[in-house]
Amino acid sequence: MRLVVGGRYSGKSEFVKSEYGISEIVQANYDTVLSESCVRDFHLFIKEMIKNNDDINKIIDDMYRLNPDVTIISDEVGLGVVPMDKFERMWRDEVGRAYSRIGEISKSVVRVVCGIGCRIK
Amino acid sequence: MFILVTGGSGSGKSEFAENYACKFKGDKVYIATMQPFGSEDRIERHRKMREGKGFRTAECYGKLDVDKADVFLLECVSNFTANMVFSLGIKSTDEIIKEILNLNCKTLVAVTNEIFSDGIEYDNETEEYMRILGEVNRRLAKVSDEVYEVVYGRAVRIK
Repeated sequence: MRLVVGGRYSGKSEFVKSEYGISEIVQANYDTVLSESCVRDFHLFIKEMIKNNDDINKIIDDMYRLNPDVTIISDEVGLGVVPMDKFERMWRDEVGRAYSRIGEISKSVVRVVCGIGCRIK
Repeated sequence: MFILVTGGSGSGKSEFAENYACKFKGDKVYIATMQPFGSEDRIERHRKMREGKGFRTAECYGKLDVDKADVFLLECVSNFTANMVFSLGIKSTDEIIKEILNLNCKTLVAVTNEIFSDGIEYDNETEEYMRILGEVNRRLAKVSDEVYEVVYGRAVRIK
């Protein structure tokens, strides 16, 4: 498992293509996270999981078990003002927690800044 | 020599960039891109910070119409891009980047801004600006000799 995070338009997909030789990147959803080699917009999938009251940690563990080589591309969303809206607040917290969990079990975590991959694990 | 400095608001990126630019010899020009509307405390703060560091100031609120210098400090790419996109209606990243890279100097220190990680979905206009700035940042980083990300006042060299 590999995690690639960064702000919007930071060049995460480009990084994954050039550094990992991955050509096909698909939107993260309940099916693709368990079967595809590279999924993107995991932060949006987390939003969906919250809405559906899913056990996010369990889904992450399933990914690790059934699709252990998956590369996860996702947006950093927690570096702004804490939102007034409860759901928005919860989403940011859940995204942060999910990245921490994924980071723990991933063999590498890369943060992309201005298109440059900075390896933090 | 082209150095790109990025970081979030208040990270200390401007101070780092100024001090870094000061290390180079020759005449130094500070390119200010923020149009002063009313009293902007930050403009005064930056002006104070530059005092005594030997910079001339060139104000460019549109294209970068400046002569030549040994050292240019461009503050900042995000404001300059906003001026191009919103004031002049120029949305081509080629044109925006050309303005920056055509600056006639030996050393260019350009400051940009990390505004991409707050999870907020903006209106189309703002979103388009962010997409353009993101691309400008990536392309500038690709051709720079050095890239620094400033975090809590610490400059981390990432290229």
